[in-house]
Amino acid sequence: MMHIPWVAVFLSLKVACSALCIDLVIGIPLSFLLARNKFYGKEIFDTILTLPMVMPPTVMGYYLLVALGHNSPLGNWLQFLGINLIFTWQSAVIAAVFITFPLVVNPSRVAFETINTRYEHVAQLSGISGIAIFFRIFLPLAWENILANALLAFARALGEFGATLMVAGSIPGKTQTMSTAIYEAVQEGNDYEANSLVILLSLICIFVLIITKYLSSRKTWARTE
Amino acid sequence: MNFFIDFTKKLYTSNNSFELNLRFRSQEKVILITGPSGSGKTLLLHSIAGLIKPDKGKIILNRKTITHTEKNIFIRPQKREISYLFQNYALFPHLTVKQNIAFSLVKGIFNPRRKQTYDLIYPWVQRFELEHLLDAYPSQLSGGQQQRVALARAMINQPKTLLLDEPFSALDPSLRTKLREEIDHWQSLTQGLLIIVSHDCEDIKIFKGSHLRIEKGSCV
Repeated sequence: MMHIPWVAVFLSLKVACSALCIDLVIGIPLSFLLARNKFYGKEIFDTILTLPMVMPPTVMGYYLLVALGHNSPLGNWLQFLGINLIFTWQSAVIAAVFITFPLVVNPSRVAFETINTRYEHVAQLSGISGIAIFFRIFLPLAWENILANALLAFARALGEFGATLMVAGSIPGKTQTMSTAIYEAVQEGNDYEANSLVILLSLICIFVLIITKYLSSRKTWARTE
Repeated sequence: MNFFIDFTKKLYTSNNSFELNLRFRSQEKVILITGPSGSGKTLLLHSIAGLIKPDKGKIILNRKTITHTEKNIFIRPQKREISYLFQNYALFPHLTVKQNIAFSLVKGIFNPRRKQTYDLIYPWVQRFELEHLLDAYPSQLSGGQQQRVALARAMINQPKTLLLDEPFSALDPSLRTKLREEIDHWQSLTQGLLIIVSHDCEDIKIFKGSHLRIEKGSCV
């Protein structure tokens, strides 16, 4: 285990954790709104949200590279603010968020949609406000499902390669994550490092999947209903 | 007027539409609503509760105008002082019996605590013989127990109007009698308005009051 580049391991974990937080903070309210409201263009919006699941990550990475680059309005504006995201670990987070967002939003939306509206009706008639109903009824009833899928998204973010390489590159000690480090190690013929990293990454993913399985098989109130 | 409705509501599903067009008034304390399934009984209860908004018209409950589309009056369900006993009780599956009953006592973004004691629930807990079930989850209860919990949860709100959707359909005769006694007791205490939906003719004989029959969205 001496040859594991721990910087890359910790960077991977940092990127995946940050991406997961952003996914949850933006994704849960968004999936709730999608579950509850009909609006013009919802289908198109839905399609765009799901796109990262079918598109090659390199294509998503290319879009991001163009969007954040100096020639785009967004990139220009960021540069004006003194922010340069390309080839930073923050851009790896953005890439991971892009790729994993549908993994959080789509299942959360289904989880919210399947909650019986009568619970909400009872709560309304009990004098509970809309925002409180979200925290007291919807979130607890959907939570396990959301969490199980968030863990899958975390595992996916941990292994993100294509989009990350496009926007963040693979600068050792700066933007090199586990998956890009594996690629580099193989290219350099450093089999020992590649093997160690592959085993470690596999173990982390297996661990996450076991937790996910446990969460979704746990027999609680919701499933015995 | 104790109970007055005069409203229309049009609903669209994927390939057809349904129109509810009702006009009825009563001074009684019990309103019995009957009709075949799909006639709009539940929609009427939802309109009274404020869970759906009529397109046009007026609803008065206990001398209070709660919906009046022309005057732009629509009291939120939270402020209507109505309790609604759903057919399958709709107990919150993630909360214990105690938390379910105490649900309306706590208004913020947190549910009642599992470990805390709520004194206000005890009169109802005793009345419905639920002492030994306080820490159970709804999925662990029988149908009759679930109904008692739902009724306790409905009563603790101190509603001025009680809506019952097919309350007797799932109960055996002895439980029916018991439930009827409880409802009579509530009414003698509060002089509240009782609105019962049923497609069971037996219920009409049991409860004395106005009878509203709906067919295909209209009064008969």
